[in-house]
Amino acid sequence: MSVVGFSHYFFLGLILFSIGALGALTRRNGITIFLSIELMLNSVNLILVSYASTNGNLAGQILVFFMFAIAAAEAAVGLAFFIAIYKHRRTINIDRLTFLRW
Amino acid sequence: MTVSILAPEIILSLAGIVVLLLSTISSKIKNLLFFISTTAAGAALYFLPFPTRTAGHLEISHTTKFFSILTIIALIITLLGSIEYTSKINSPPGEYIAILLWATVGILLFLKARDFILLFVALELFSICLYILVGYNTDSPLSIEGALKYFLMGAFASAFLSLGIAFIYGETSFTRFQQISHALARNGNMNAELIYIATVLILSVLFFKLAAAPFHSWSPDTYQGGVTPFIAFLSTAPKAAVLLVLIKFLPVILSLPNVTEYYRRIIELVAILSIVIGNVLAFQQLDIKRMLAYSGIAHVGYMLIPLVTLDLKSYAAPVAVYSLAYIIMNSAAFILVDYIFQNDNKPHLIEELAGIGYKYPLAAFSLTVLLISLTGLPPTLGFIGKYFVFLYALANGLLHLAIIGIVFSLVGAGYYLRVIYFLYMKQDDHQLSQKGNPFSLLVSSICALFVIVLGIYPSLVTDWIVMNIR
Repeated sequence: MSVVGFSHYFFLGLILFSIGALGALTRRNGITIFLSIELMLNSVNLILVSYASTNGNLAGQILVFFMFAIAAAEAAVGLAFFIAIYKHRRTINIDRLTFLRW
Repeated sequence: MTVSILAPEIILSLAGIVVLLLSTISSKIKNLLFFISTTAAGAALYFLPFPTRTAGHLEISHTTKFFSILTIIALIITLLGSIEYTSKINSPPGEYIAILLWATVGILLFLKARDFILLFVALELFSICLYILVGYNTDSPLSIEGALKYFLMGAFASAFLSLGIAFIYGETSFTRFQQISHALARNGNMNAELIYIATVLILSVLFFKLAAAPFHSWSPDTYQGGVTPFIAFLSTAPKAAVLLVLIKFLPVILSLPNVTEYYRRIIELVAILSIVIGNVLAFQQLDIKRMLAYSGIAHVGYMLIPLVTLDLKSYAAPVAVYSLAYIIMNSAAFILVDYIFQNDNKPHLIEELAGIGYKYPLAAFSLTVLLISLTGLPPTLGFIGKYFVFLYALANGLLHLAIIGIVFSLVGAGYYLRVIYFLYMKQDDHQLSQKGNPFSLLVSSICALFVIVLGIYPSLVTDWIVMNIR
């Protein structure tokens, strides 16, 4: 078994991204969907960091810090929406949010 | 490079903070808050940086300046149209104004960004602000539901955007557009498949933000549920900004050798699908906000037609003309919908417009002018926009796109004119009589006037656009 290198991190990142994307598409609970999206964002962070170390410049690492902040802001906004929708509907199952249909 | 380049962003951010702090002092100074924010928007318009040739991570050109002006116009229209709205809902006005100003800051930065890090941060800055404002009316389950759908799909899309950026950064080791296009043109030891995947990911996220056809599913729900005066902003300013970024991003990916034909086909497909789906589905809508959402999808399709040529020197000018028309007419139309209906917790059914022409003569007349302009009939600005787009398509051998565009504009006439029919042809048989926000009426009548004046004398702006927009 060789040393853990770039491609291991890269493919781990891609696998995590795919798991996140599948989760976001198949789950029905709003918060689980949101968790899957966070997983996607963080797997991109892993890919960015592994690229930054092979490219030998810091731009990727800087972008990772911004992505942490953005993911946190998104979490704050998203959880507030879930609380607000729960107050109205007593559920966060997205299949039951059907007021807006044609 | 000096601070003055960022003067509009700084002014608007500070105004947002001031408004937020003042709103905690007293709840009775709503008008002062709107006055401060509108003044700040005017100041931002005045301090827009003079176009120079900076080619770092910011681009300040005539093109970015023009689109910044459009964004701030949309901001001012939205601010004046929201004055009454914020007193009807349960949430404080200070936050609404501050978040709206910060969304504008994000869009202005997004327009200037020529670096993927800044691009991504600016995109998320305005997107998160837009999510909040769609769901600002927390009393209404529709508003929250629209916001939640927009939020989930938007966050999903931004994950794909970040993956695309990561691939491009990884393969070229740069984040600035200029360096990336040099690296792509040199075509060193890169994994070309990853670059293709990355560009397609980034393009689809931009199409998602534009609400272009295969990626449009969020927009009808969000527009129908969202805070009506704010939809005037959501449906116009971000779309124009994303179009400009698309205009600036296409040259980067075209530095790859032998790819022009593929990207041309992608954009052509999206444009045709947007025009067809938008116009056909708009036809069967009962809710006017939902109808305007589908018609917005169709308008994005028209705006994408010039990009199909991939003629990097000249394709920006027709897009700029159409964006000007679209921003003015669409935002004013949403403000008028809010003025006429006044109650955001119920559906905005087109049937309920019956007899409005006799009850609110000025509002109905302005709405009629704006709808005629959205249809694209002369003598309005909407006609000038379509004229430029179709003429450009014909001049570049895109006859089939011009024909599809014109045929579906005629289909579009059906559903716009149906609204005008309801406004005037039916007698008044119910009551909707509270007084609305006079500023909404003022600003949308001015927009309607503008649409007609520029429709009769288009050379007032189009000469400048054709000369300067690249």
